[in-house]
Amino acid sequence: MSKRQWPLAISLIILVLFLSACGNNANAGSSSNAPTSFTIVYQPGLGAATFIILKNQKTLEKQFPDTKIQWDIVNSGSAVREAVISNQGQLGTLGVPPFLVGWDRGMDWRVLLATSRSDSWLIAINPRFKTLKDFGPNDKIGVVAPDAQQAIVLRKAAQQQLGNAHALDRNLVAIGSADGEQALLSGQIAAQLSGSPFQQREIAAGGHVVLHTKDVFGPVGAGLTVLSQSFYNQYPSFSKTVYQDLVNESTYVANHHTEAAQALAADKASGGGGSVAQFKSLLDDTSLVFEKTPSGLVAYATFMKSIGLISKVPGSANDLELPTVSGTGN
Amino acid sequence: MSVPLFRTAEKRTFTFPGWLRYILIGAIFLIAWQLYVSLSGVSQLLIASPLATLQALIADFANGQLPSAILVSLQNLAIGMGIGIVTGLILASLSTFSRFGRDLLTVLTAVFSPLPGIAILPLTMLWFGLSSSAIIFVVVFGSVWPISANTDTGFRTIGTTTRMVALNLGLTRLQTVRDIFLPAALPHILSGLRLAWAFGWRTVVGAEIVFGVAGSNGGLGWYINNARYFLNPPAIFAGLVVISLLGVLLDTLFQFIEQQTIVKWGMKQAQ
Repeated sequence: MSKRQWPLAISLIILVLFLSACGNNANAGSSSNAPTSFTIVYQPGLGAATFIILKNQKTLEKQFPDTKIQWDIVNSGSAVREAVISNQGQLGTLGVPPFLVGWDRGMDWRVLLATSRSDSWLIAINPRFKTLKDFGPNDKIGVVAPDAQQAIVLRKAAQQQLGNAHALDRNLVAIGSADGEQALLSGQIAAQLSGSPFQQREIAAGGHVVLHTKDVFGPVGAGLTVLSQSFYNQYPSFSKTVYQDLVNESTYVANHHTEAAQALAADKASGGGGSVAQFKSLLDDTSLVFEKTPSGLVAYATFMKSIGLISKVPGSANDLELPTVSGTGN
Repeated sequence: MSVPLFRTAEKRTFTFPGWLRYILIGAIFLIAWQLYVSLSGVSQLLIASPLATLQALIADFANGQLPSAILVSLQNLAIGMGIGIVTGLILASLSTFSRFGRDLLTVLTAVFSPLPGIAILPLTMLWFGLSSSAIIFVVVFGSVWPISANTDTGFRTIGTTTRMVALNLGLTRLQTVRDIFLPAALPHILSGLRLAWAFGWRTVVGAEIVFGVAGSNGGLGWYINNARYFLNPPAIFAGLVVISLLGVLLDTLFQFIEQQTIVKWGMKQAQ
């Protein structure tokens, strides 16, 4: 390369770098009341019922005909976070810990409302696994991600039962709930901690419960629906409408288990697979609660900071909430 | 632009030595990178600056996360390559001594070598479960074909004179391979090895990412994936830097081996 070509080459490299950072702006609408497009990113499972109903009834599409409403299903809260960071999605639904990790690293997202809270079970097939003490270094435990709510609950349980929050870190395997169910039944992993409907099917296939997550943190830690503060500020009326729609659907699901079960069974990717009767009995099970108030934000943050997963704890839950739920959570 | 074949001493202009030029390019790149992150206003969650990457490197070396991840990855690579080398040499030897062996190697290489190692990971996970054996098998699979094919070529291109010497001495087949063929085919074997480790290294890191196994079984692929889960871009960059640097080091090691053997013995010209 001759001397004259050097500045050219370097400026090309810098140009490429700059261009690559100019990501897309899905919602770069004008100052109108609604964005041009709006993508909702949620995770499969029983808690997705609210979103499936909202999607099926096309409520948002009717309210905002000029906005392109899109739906994405991803496997973990980390993936929801990535979708929001890269602006591939605006509204996300995820557990408290992956939300806190994003907040801790400087994402400007806040809680629009909570979704549902349920008891998740650590399930093993082999009868020799009775408590956490029975897990050896090679006994893998499947969770959707190392920062998922289940993984954090497991660390707290390890701290309580084994005296070391990180005692089971080496056992964790990041695996989607549906794949994890297969892995558990085929013996590739020793135990799985996911949620409904996966855990009930695992029990039906001969598994037993080693740990209830409700025993670890108490009845807190409902899933969250989150939106960035900047989006909320830019489209306050749109955001409030989305909030109200979700509240309505959540109430609807809580009171119409049959319809919700039908929606879940019809949408295998969202529900995780199953019959209407199976989903109906799961929804009737009182361990699943659809609630709108965020809970456990401070409790999880305090624990996660104490074991070095995040660097700060919010002064109060209010710091993490949008005006829609401001001052109601804990 | 024409280049004079011989430069006279008067015409020779001053040039920096090679290593200095490389370091200069690296430094310009690092400065451009840092300036870009500092000045463009890009989100720190999307790209980490060189300084943040360096901090993550230091922190994770100090707390032992990176050293143990490096050990695990290198161990997976070494065991996989070791088995791959032995298997590859056996296949190449069979191919040299029997028609069936040659056909076998031809068919196996034709069928299996186009398969990316990562592509068979789902299968090995079924066979071996979520243990490092699954990754090692994939590395063996990725490295055995370049090694056997190159060794086979090496064996086949050995001069008739050399073969005759082996015959004249009345060596057994094992002795022939060990004392005559292997040294004579070394240039080919070494280029096969370089190819194999490059495949293997990419495969190890890729497999560890797909695998998602934490802790003691987690190598560098797991490390960067875990950094992704905890939204830690500096650590992701640190992992990438380590993977790349180890690659350079391993390549240098192979160059050194070539220097000490085939270049020294006059079988290959020094570059």
